[in-house]
Amino acid sequence: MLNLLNSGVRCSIYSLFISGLILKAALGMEPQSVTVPKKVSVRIFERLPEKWDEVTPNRGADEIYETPLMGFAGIPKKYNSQGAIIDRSAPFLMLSKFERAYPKGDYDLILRSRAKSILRIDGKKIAETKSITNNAGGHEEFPPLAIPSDKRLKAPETNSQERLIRWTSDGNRHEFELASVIGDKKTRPETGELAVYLIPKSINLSDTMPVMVGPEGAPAVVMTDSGWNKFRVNHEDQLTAIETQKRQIAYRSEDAYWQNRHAMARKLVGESLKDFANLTPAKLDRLIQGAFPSRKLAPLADDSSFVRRVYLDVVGQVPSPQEQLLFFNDPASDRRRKLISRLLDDPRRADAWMGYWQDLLAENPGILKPTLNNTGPFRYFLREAIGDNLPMDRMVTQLIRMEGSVLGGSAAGFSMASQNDSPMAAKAHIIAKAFLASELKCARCHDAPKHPYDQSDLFELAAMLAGKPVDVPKSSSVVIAPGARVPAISISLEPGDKILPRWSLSEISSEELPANVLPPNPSTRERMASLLTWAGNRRFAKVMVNRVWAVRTGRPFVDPIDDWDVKTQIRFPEALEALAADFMRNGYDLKRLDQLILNSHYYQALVVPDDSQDSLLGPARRRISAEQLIDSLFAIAGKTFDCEELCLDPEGRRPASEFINLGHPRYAWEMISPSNERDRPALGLPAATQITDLMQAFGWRSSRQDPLTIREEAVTPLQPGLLATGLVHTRIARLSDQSRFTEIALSSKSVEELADLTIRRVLSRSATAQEIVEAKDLFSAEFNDRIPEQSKLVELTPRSHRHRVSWSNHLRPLATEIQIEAEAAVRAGDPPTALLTNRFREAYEDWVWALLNCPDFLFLP
Amino acid sequence: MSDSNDQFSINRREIFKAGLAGALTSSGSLLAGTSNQEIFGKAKSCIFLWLGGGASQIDTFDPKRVGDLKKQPGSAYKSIETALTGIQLCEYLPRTARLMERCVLIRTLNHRVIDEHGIATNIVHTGHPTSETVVYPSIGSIVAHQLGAGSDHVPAYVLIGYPNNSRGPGFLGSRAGYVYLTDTKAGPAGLSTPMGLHADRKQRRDMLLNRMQTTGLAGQKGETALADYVTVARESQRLAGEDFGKIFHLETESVALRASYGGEFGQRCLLARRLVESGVRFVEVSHNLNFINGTGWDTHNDGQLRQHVLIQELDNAIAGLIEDLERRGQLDSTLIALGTEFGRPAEFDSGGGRGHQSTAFSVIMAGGGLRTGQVVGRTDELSKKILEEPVSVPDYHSTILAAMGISSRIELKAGDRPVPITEGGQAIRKLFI
Repeated sequence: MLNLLNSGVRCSIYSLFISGLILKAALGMEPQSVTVPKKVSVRIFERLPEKWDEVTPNRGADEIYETPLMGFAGIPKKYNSQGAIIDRSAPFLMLSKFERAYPKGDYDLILRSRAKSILRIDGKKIAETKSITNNAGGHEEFPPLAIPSDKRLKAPETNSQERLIRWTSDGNRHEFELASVIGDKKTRPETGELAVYLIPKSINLSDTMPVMVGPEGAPAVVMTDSGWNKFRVNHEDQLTAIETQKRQIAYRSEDAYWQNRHAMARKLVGESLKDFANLTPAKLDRLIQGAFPSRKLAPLADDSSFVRRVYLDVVGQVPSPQEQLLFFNDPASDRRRKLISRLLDDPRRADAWMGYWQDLLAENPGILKPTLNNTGPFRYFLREAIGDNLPMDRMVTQLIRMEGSVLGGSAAGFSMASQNDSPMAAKAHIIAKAFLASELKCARCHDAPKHPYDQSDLFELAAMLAGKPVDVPKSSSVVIAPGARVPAISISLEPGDKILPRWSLSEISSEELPANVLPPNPSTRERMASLLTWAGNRRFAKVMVNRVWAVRTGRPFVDPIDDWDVKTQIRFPEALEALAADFMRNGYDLKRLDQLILNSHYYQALVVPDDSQDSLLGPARRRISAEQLIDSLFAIAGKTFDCEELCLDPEGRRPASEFINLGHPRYAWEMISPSNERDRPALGLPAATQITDLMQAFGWRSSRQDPLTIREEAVTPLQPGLLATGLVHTRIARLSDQSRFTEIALSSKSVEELADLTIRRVLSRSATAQEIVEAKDLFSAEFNDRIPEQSKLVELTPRSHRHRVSWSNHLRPLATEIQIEAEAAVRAGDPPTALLTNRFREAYEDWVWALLNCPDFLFLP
Repeated sequence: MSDSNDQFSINRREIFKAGLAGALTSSGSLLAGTSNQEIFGKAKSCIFLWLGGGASQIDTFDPKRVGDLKKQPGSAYKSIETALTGIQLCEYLPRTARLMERCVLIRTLNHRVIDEHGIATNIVHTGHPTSETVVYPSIGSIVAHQLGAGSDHVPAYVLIGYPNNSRGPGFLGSRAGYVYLTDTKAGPAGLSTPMGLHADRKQRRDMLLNRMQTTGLAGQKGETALADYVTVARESQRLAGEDFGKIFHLETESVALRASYGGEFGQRCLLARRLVESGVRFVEVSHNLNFINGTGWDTHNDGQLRQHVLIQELDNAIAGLIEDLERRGQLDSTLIALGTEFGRPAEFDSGGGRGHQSTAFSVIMAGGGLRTGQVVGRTDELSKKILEEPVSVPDYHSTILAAMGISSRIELKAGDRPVPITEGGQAIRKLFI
C-alpha cells in the first residue's frame, strides 16, 4: 500500500511492467530497463480565456516540468515567493509533448479526458473532447456504463469522455501533443483520468492490452484499474518531488532573515543560559535524575520493545519484519542511535506528526459546503512544513501570516472559520493555546475567571490577526435572563465595541523587539508572529519542548500541557530549561529536539505504568493513537486503504468553495469524515467510513471545531467492538490474495516459521514458546495440506465497471441503490484467497484476528 | 451513566447568549412556562424520527389550499379530516389522522439560521448554533448522558441511520455517543457479530483472545490502562452477545404486526420499539429512503413527484408505532418525536418541487404521557408566517427533555465551563397540565 521500501524511502520505480513477452509482441521491442528515459515535457499556461481558441498562447509558460508518460492524475501545486501554496488562475492549459517512433503498423489510440482536450500528431488534430459541464443540481441521469469488451480493462470514469482513433504508423518519429484545459470558474482544477493509451491492431494477440503512451523507455502502464492506481500513486510522488523542489527554492528568499534571527537567538541564549550549553542525551538524563535523587531511572527496555516504540513514535507505524532485521544487523552498541537518525530522515516522520497538529490547530475542513466552523484544508501546509523540517519559529510565522490559497491547502486555510462571527478571535485563541499554553477560551465571552485574561486581551490579538480594529460580536457576551441569578463573572466589553490591534500578552513576552527581529515592512500578523516566536519569549520554546516531550514520553514536564496560567505541576524543571535553551540555540529544529529526547535513557527506559507509586523514573504506558492504529494495520496486512476518493464531487464539476477534494488517502491523517448532515445514502463513502469509524472510536475527531492537546482517553465498548467486527475482520485479518499473511502462509516451511513470521509482523518480536505451542494446536493438522491442488487467484470485477456516484447524479434513485450495494460490499470485506484451503485459512485468520485484538497490540511497549 | 450532582448544578443560573437566543427564537412566552415551576412527563425513552432533507409541512401536517405545482402556490395534495375536530392533515396521512388524539401537532417550529441543510440539521439536533469554543451535544447524547441506559445489556443511544457530527456527543464525550446501524439486518457497527461468521469461528476467536488477554501485559502489576481495556473489551463482548443481538431479529414478530408498520422505514421503527423496550433511552430513526424518489424529503424539482410515497411510509410507520406501543401499554412511557431541519415554502420551483423554509414548519409528538390531542401554533393561509404560539428549537428540546423528566435548568459542563442544557428553551406548558 504505502509504496515504501524497507528503508522507508518512497519507491518511484513502476512496479507494473506487463510481461516482456506481451510488450515485445505488441510494440516490437524489448522492454527496456529503466535507465534515463526520455520524458514528456509539460507546460502550463495560466490565464486562459474562458473561451479558448485552441491556439497555444504565444508567451512563456507559467510552469514547465517533465513526466515519464502522457498520463495525468494531478497538477503540481503552485507556490508564492515564500513557499505558500497559491491558486492558479483557472482555466489553464496543460500542454504535454513527446516524440517517438512506433513500429510500422495500425494502432488504436485512446484518449480519455473529463474536460476539453485536443490530441495532435505532428501538429495535426486527430481527436478532441468537449469542455466540462458544471452541475449543481444533482438530478442528472447516469450515462450508460461503457464497459470495455475486454473485461480486464478499466472503464472510463462516469461522465468522462473517451475517443478511439485508428492511427497508422509509418515507423518514423512523430510528435505527440496533448492540450488540455483544466478547471474554470465553476469547477475545481483537477485532471481526473487524463491519458492517452495505445494498442496495436496489426498483431492478432488476444492478450494485448492498451498501454499509456510515452517516449522510448517509458514505463509500461496498462489500462486496467490496478494499472491506473499504481500509475496515480507514482504520479503523485513525482508531483510531490517537484513541489518540494519548488518550495526549497522559494524558501531561499527568506533564508538570510531567518539565519540572522537564529544567530541573534543563539547569542541571547548563550549569554543568559550558559549552564546548558552542549546538551547531550546523557546530560539530559542526569538533569532528570537530579530532580529525584531518591528514585532511579528504570532499566532500558529491550531492543524489540525499543524498535516498536520508536517506529510508532517517529514514523507512526509498527516496523516491518525487514525493518526489524535491518536494526538487528547493526552492532548492538550503536544500533539505537543509528535507527533514530534513520527514522528522523524518513518521510513518514511528517505523516506521523499530522494528527497532533491537526488537533492542535483545529484543522477542520468540511467535505460539503462547509458551514460548521470549518477551516480550509491547511493540512497540506502542515505536512509540507514538517516534512521540510522548517524551523519551528519559521513554521509558526508562516501559519500566522495565513497567506496563500484558502481552499487549496495553504496556511490561509487556517484563517477560515465558516459561520463564525469572529474568526480571528477563534484563531487568536488557538494560537495562544498552541504556542504559549495560554487559555483564552473563556475570554471570548467574558473576562476569564480562573485565568489572567480579560476579553480585551483576546480581541486585541484578534485585531492583530485581522490587521485592523475588530468588533466584539453580539454572541461574544453573556446576557443574563431577567430574574435569573447574576453569574460570578465580569464582562469588560460590550458587543459592538471596537478593539484595536495590540500585543496583549506582554506579561509573557515583552512588547519591545530588538532591531532586525521584525522582517522589513511588517504586517501586524508578522509583528504578532515575531513577538510570539522571538527568543526573547522563552515561553514559546518551553511550550514546544514540553509538547514534544509529552508526546514522546506520555509524561509532560508541565501539566496541563496547554494551560500554564492555572496551577500546574512541574517535573524535571532543569531538563525543560536545558532542552528549551538547546532548541533556541539550534534554530528551533524539531528534528534535533527529537534526536536528543529519543536518544535519552529516559525515553528508552522500561515503561513505568504508575508514576506515583513506583520508585523508578520512566515513560508512561501509552495507548496507540487512531492514526498509528490504522497505518499499522494496513502496513501489517500489506494492503492499501482502497477507499473512495475523499470527495463528494469526484467528477470535478463544482468549485472548491462547495466541495474540496482530499484525494486518495495513503495515511490515516489524510482522512476526513464523510459526515455532511444530509443523511443521504448516496453521499456516503462506505469504505472510508469503515476506516474513520475505527479511528473515531480511538479518539480521532470527525470534526475539529476546537483545538485539542490530549484526546479523550476513555475506553468505550466501541473500541474493542469495532476492532473486532469492523476493518480488522473484513480486511486486515482477511487472507485475500493481496494479504501479506497469505504470503506468509504460502511460503512458511513449518508451523514454527509461520508463527514466528506472524508474531514479528504483528507484535514486532519473535514468537514465545507458548505462542508456538498455540499455533501448533491450531494449525498442525491442516498445515501440510493447506495448499489445495488446484487453485488460482480470485477474479474481481474492476471497480470502474460500476457507476460512480457523484454530486451531479446523487439525487437519482439509482445513486442510492448503488451506494447501498457498495455498503454491503464493504461489510462483506475482501474476498478470501483460494490459494489456501478454507479450513486452514479460517484457523489462521482467527489467530491473526486475536493477535490484532489483544491489548498488547494496542499499547506501546 | 447519569452523573452525580457535583457535575451538574441544577437550577443555579439561567444564562444564555442574547444574540444566539435571537437566532433560535421566536420563543412564545404565551405558551411556554410562565410559572417558574417545571412540570415533567413520565416518558422513559424517546424515539426520534428524523425526516432528513426538510419535510414539507404544507404537504403533510399543515395543509392549506391546493396549488397547481406550477405558478399557484399551495399544498400538493388534498386534505382530510382527523380525529380532532377542525384539524386536517394531507390525504396521504389517513392512519395518523385517525390517531390524532394520541398526538400533539406542532405547526410553528421555527429557527432563523440560514436555510442550509448542514447548519440547520446541526441546530435542530443540538439546539445551539455552532461555536468554536465548544462542540454541542445532540439531543440524543444529552438524554443518554442524563439517563444512561435502562439496562446493562444495551447502549443508551442508538442511531438507525448515518453517523454525523450533529448526532454526536460533542463535549459530553464518547460515553454519551451513539452506536449506529444503516441496515437493520446487519445490526449496529461494533456491537454485532459480523454476518457470515460462523458460531464456531466466533467461539475460537473469543477463546484465543481470552487467553491472550490474560497472558499478556494486561495481567501485570500496575498496568491499569491495559486492565481497564480488557474489562471494557469483555463488556463489549457481552453487549455484542445474544441479549442485545436478538433485539434485531424482527422476524420473530408476527407477520401482521410487521405489515402494520409498512415498508423499510416502518421496520426501522419496529426495531426502535424493540430497542426502547429493552432499555435503550434514545433511538433516532432516519427516514432516508432516497431510493424511492432520489431526494428523500429534500423535494426540489422531480423529488416532489413521488413524495406521496414517502408520506405514506411515514404514515404507516407512525401509526404502526403508536398502535403497537398502545397495545403493549408502553405508549405513555415512550415519547415519539419527529424532527426535520426545516420545512418548505408553498411556492413551487421550476421543476415542480419546493425550496427551503425555516420560518415555520411542523413536527408531531405522540405518547410519552403528554396531554395529547392538542395542536400547538397556527400559521397563515400558506403556512409561511406564524400567527400564534411560535415554538423555538430550544423550546422543542425542552419539551422533549421535560417529557423524559429532565430539567431544562440543568447546566452541563464543557470542561470548566457551564453550558445550559438548552439555549433558554421552555417546555410547552399545555402539554403537561
